Formats: sequence, C-alpha cells, structure tokens
Amino acid sequence: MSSPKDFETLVQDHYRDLYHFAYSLTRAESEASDLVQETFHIWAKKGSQLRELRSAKSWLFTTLHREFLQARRHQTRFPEVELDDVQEDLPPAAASLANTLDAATVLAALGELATAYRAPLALYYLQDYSYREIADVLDVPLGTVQSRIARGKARLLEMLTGSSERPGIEETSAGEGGAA
Amino acid sequence: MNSREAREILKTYRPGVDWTDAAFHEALEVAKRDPELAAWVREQGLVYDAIRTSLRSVPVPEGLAADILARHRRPRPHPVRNFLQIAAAVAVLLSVAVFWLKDWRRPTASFPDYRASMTALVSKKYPMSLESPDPALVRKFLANNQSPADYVLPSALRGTPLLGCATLSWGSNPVSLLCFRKPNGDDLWLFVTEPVAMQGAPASTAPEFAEARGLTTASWQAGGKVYLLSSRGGANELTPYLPE
Repeated sequence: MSSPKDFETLVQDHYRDLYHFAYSLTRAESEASDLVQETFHIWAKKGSQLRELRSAKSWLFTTLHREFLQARRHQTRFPEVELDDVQEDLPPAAASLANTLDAATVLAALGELATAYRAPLALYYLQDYSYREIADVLDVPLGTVQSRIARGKARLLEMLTGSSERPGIEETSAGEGGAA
Repeated sequence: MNSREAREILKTYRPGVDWTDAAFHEALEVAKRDPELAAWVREQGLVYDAIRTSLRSVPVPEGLAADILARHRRPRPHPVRNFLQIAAAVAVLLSVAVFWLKDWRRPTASFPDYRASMTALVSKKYPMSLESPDPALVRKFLANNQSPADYVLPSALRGTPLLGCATLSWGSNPVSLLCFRKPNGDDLWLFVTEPVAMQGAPASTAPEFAEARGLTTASWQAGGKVYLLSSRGGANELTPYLPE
C-alpha cells in the first residue's frame, strides 16, 4: 500500500465514507474536509505499512475519530445531551417519520448527543460495521458500544419524533456499559 | 426466546446488516411468528433506512479527493537537489553575515541626523544617568558604562559647573552626554562620540555652527572624538565654551 496508485485507490474507495462520518461528528463542511484530509495525510506518513485493505479502512476511521477527539479538546464545548437517565425503549416510530426525515433534521438531532454516543451511532447508521468492528474502530469495549448505540438510538428517535421536550445538558462522561 | 425478549434484541437490528448475527437471527425467527412484532420490526427498519439514507445524502465537497491526492503527490525534495538548496541558502546567509559584520559600523544616517536626534533629546525632559558635579566621578561612570570617557574638554567648559551625565547611543555607537550649567542658568549639553559612525561629521577642531530643534550647536572633532555642544541662545552664547 505504498505506491501512488494504491494510495489513489484507497482515497477513491473511502473518502466519501470518511467524509460522511466526519460530517456526522462535526456538522461543518470545512472541519469535516480537514479531518478527512488529515486522516489520509497521516496514512501517507504512517499507515501505509498496513497490508490489508480491510484493516486500512478501519485504521482510517479510527484515525479520523482520534483526530476529531483531539481537535475537540481544544474547542469550546457546546451543550450536548448526556444519556444517564434515558430509557432504551424506542419511542413509537411511525412509518410516516421515514418519509419526513432529511439530512439536516437527522444531523441536528445527532449533533445534540454527546460525542461518546454520536460516534458509534454515526458508524451504526453509515457503515455496515458489526458492533465488534465499531468497538474496535472507536477503541472502546463491545458492551460499551452496544449500550451507547441502544441508548443513543432511543434518544435520537425521541428527538426526531418530537416525543421529548428534554433540553440538552452539558456532556458528562458516560458511565454506562462495560466490557463485552 | 419470547416476543418481549426478541423485541429487546431487535431494537438495534439493522436490516441487511445484522441478520447474520446469531442473536438477531433467533429474534427474527420469533418475529416471524408474531405479526405485531414483525410489523414493529418493519417499521423500525424503515426508519433506520431513512436515517441512513439521510446521513449518506450529505454532499461530499467537489474536489476533496483531488485535494487529498494533490497533497500526497507534492514532490518530495530530491536529496542532491535538497543539499544544493541548503548549501545555496547557507552561502547567501554567510554573504549577508560577512557584509553585515564588515559594514555594521557604517553610518545609518548622517551627522545632521545625529545632531537633530541629540538636540531633540535634550529639548525635552530626559533622564540623567548620573547627577554629580564631580568631573572625575562622571568620567569614571562613563568609562564603567562603555560610554566615551577619554574626551578632552575645552578649557572654558572645565571651569563650568557640571550637573551630571547620561549614557546614550546612536545606532550601535555609544554617546556620552555631559550637562553643564551656564552662569545665566541655561544648560550646556556636550555630546561625545566616535566619528566613524557618521558621514558628514566635522573633520577638524574648527567648530561648525548649526541650528537644530531651537538650539544652537557647535561641532568639532579632536583626538578621535566628535564633539557636539548645544545650548539655547545664539552662536555667541556658545563661543566662550569652544576650543581655542
């Protein structure tokens, strides 16, 4: 994976998926683009030692997520929903909801979730990764990922269906989940 | 597994993605036997698809891939070419350094500029480095502060009360300022510096008069030093204090 041709193939295969993931995290075009570019730049410097393309894709997502978290630490935090008391019961999701959703609405709701929930949920929806793969990409235990996806999804649907008026509160460390 | 347990498992089920997972597979088998659960699974699947489609519909900026590839294709410096570039840069820096070291004492301004600057300084309030009427103490203080101290005062100045001194600089050259008090109460300021720093500096002991900043000045060179004497009043006010 070190020739220019290989690198071009890698970029063409994954830059869209990485951008969608980055945009789900940031909701800002420039920030998402920068994250994707930086991710491939890091790959060009370090990651080209990986031989398997499948590993390369996970590595790219992991690196992008890590870069996002690193940049995030330097930014002002915005209020986000922490989910300590959110039930995992899914709200009634009317079939009509499926016809009314658009990207802006979904991203706005997703953006209100704490980062710890947003990242696994974005991968859950965007990619065909198994829970184990999502856990590996985000470098968290499988049980934590399962819990965050379940609770994050419940909260997301609450917001999308308007079944909750609960205001966003500042992000705190997630205390749920555990090792698989 | 009953319907309630199956529904719990299927909350995070993704149609087309998770069906190979054993737990989901078993729960889906339960849903086949429970029409209500099956309807719920279908409904959840539609919403899942809608959210997935929405997130994937975000347009990717045009040119993003090209930007990534362009950044990666940026030519890396050829080792030999890189060495030559560094060598050339070092040569330029050395040339500049040699030029600067050779000419650092070259005047950055003329003697009139120096005169204007010095008279401007004393035409307003300025701090004295040492206030003392003792000529020997003032000279020692100037010497200790790397300011010109081997000056020769005109005889009339030697008998004029000394108020003190200040250590100044003109460019990179030190300047000594001695302040005297005339009998009429006006001050006399004598600046002493090296002549190499200024073009147009007086070349002889014959005083040259000029006006600057409302002051009258007389300048001369003697013993490798340039002297600039200034005071209020006309040239006749300075003449008694000049070299004979």
